[in-house]
Amino acid sequence: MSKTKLITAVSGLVFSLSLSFLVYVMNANSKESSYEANIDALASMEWPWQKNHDCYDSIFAAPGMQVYYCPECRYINGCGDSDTLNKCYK
Amino acid sequence: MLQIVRYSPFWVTMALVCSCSSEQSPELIFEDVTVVSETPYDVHVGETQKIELATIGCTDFTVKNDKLLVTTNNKEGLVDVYNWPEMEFKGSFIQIGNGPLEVYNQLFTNDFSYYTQDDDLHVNFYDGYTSAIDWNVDESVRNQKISMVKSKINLPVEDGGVISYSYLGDNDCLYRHISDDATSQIRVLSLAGGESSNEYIDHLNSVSIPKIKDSFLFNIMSTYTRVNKERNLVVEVPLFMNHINIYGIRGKSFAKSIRIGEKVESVKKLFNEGATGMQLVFYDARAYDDFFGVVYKDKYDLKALPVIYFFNWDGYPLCSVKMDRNINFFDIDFVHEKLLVFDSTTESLFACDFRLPNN
Repeated sequence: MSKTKLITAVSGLVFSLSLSFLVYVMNANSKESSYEANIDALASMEWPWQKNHDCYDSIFAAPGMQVYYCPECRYINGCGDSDTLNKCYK
Repeated sequence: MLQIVRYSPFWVTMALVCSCSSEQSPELIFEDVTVVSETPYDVHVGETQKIELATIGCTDFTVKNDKLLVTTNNKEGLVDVYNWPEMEFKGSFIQIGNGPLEVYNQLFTNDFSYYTQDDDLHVNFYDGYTSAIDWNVDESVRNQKISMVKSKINLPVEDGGVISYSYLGDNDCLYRHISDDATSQIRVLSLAGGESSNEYIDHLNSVSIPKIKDSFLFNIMSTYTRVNKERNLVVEVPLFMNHINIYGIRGKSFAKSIRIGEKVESVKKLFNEGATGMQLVFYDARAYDDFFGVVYKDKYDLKALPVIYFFNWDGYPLCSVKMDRNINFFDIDFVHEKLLVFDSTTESLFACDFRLPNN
């Protein structure tokens, strides 16, 4: 292998690794920021945790799942109807 | 330099391939994973027979011994009992209410634990408050009066947060409750009244979602939990992820995960997608003496019909049954060699001939 080809190959490899690292870092940052933004958005809801729950006024049956049900202030089997998301002050 | 420019598309492609290969590792899974890309046998459903149900508002069903149990949304009679295969209606049992031996929630037969004692079919299930109930189905039918007793098992969980309950015989059970901050689901192995755990349960219990003010997203980690008491094995089938976990209890050393499909789902990824990303992957799971079965649907293929996969208790696939219609629930009548399937949206129950290959 000539010297020129060797330099070309090494340069190409270095370039590819640098680009790869750059894309990876950008990708990770983007994922992390959207992930954290999502948590922040959910966490910024106004009622404090543990004393109060967000709850659902109406639910429908679904095996294997539970949801906090407003009228009873407790968990109940089923799925929440997203149109009836509410606050439950216990 | 010219050569670098000439080959630049190649290097750029390589760089992109390398950077895209990183994948978030799933959490609710064991180290030993069997990937299912195909099964030894593909069974196609043959001629089906529609089973007429007198019950209105059916939600699911189970066939055991000579009885077919159907759960309904009728609060005065949550479970209808039929003679099988004659399909003679034998009565409606179990009510919703606050009274003794009444239950809090609507019930599902695939959540029940079944056993036979003195030729009578017994059902053990969580009452939605703090106890388990033992129901003698055959005696109830004979006397046309509910025969139930409160079990000695207490489930000390406030606010009804027991999300899963499996009876292990005597006073033993495996139950799961939602943590106080609603970020995780805690499995508790209750043996002879004392709580117990093991490394597999501890691993699954350690998985959590970030702490947020929400009372539903913990269901990302929800599973159908089925138990094989004789083998001391538990199979957990997640509702929203494409893998299955099998693990040992009561001294049994075994832990394996089965993955169906190419893409790995993780709790973190599902959480990031929120409630709108919660699409069911598994619809049902049933455990039998020598194997278990699950109803799977590819959530990325909207036209896909459900497939029932059967696995032995070592976690290896036995066969798959491709459905020709939408179904959510299934069960097997081993005496008459029938596969029964149920679609809760149309409340239709069908039966077809079925024998597990080489079983």
